[in-house]
Amino acid sequence: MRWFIIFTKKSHRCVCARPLVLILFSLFLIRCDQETTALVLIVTPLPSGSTAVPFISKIPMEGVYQVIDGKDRFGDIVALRWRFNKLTIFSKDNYLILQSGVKDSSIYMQGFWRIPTSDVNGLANLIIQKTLGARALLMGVKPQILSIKGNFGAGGGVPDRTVEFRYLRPFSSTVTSKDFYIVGHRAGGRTSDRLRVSENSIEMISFTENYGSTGIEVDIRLTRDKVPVLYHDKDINIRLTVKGPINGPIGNFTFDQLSTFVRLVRGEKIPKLEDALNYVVDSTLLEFVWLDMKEGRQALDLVIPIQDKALKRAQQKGRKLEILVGVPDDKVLNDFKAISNHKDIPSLCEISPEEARNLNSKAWAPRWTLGTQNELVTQVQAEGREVYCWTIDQPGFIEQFLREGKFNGLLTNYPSVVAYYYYTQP
Amino acid sequence: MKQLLLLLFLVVAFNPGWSQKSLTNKEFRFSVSGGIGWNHYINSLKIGTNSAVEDHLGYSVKILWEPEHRLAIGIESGYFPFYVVERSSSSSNLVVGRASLSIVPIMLHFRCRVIKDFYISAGTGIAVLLSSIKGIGGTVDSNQLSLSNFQVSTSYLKSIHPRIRVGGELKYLSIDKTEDESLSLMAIASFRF
Repeated sequence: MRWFIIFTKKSHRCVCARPLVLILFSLFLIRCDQETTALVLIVTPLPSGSTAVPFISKIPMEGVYQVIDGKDRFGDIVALRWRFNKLTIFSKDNYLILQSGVKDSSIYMQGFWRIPTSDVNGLANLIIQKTLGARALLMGVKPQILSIKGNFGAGGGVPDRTVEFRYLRPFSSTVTSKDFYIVGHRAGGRTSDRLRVSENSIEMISFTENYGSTGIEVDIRLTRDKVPVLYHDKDINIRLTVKGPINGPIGNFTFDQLSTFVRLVRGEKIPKLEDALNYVVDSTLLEFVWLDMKEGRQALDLVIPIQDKALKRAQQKGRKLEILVGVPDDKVLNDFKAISNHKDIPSLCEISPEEARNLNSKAWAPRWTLGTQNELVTQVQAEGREVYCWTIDQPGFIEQFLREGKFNGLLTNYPSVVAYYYYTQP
Repeated sequence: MKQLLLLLFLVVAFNPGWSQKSLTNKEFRFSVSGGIGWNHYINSLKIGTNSAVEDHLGYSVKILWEPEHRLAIGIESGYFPFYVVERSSSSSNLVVGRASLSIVPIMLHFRCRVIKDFYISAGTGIAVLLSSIKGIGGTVDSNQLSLSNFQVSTSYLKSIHPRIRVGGELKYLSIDKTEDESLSLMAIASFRF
């Protein structure tokens, strides 16, 4: 934050103009320049000649680990989870995103750790030595002893502190026996949290599985030529986009104009909804997409066929995927009701359980400030509807809502925090 | 830079050691000024940076209440073309799009005479941002309002008639919403009544 403070000096002569001048120049001109550049560390490369970790090794690696060394940074237990080739370790206050490779029967993991709610981060270089579990893992067998050892550092500094995670148990039946979605806000995370990719971009959809998400919420707006795109705000602005030559409401510009003159803050193009959903189906394991409609009837008429096409595409590929049209307010509600077959369209109603029932919505989504509402949630679930809570970011409340609540998923800006509390459940 | 210019204005405007002399026999007058000249956009674009045309002809107009002392107050407006950027369409290199931004500020204007014929000014107010795109997907004109903007300027006005003064003005203009800035040098003509 930069402060521009202008003080006035008493003048005894400019009597007529003085009050006006005083009002003008006594104002504190404050500019809030919140730091929004990406926090990126240069990760130590994997040993040359290392090969990808085979799929058979990944399943026995997943689970809850006890922190033997490094408790002050990573707490008592952590959860390790794979998504394709994306490996993440979730601890109470941090997450570690790691590249992985195999060399000489050892599994190397190099990457970084970060506290999601702050800028604190550092490098991490980990290894499962062949005698401490890697050899068995590479044969697809769960080893007797599985120990991840290595070092971590602070900022871009050399990782000089030791850490050890020792395998404790697999994920509990609470985790594996039911569907629960960790839904990343704005395609998986916010630009303002200094992630290396922009919110509402295909790159964020790619990143967010590493961040802990198993589902995403995306914001839908229409361009001038009626292309549904992922974008949160009404205007093209320097909060969400790189400073470029066009300004004004996004709906004033065609998709081609936006693609030519606008880039999101980390350099990505504003994506079409159709491309984003195809990416979800083809290139991720995400199981849930919440389409947050920022506009009414016109957008609904265009979004619903895209939703249907993506669901069919997922079905053809044998992908488990829910895509729900969000009904956030009365305007969208009335426009949605005006669609003749609205009860057949998979939707998520934020307004009330009654309206969710009227729309035959697949889900109801109350705001988190209403509390866990267990009785009402159970009642709605008994009708065959899912219940998602939005947008919950405080670690204490996340823990409470997971422990005491009965939700089918939580929408959050910090999926890694939800992932930690979710995967470490007893 | 911004703080220094504002500070300079304040020091000069409120220094009690600088006596004020009556300019005329009347207690106050009004003046209308018009300006035309070079307007330079201080290029801070991250897209189309190198293809931006930064220099254009700009216009300004202001009405001031000029009491007998040094400080005059009024309203200022004008038309300040900031940039024109050309880029090939993302879907076809053969199609070139042309995006431009011009500013119409509407600001309170405070002017202080420093020495004979030399003035410094500052002002704050709203600005209408006029965006335009041509060449890709048809013409699009778009308006936005920027609420918190300011300008500082210095000018020289020489009297060539009891009612008419001519001179020049150097102005720095800052637009908050898009964080754009420009520098202009304009010929000014002023009519007092």
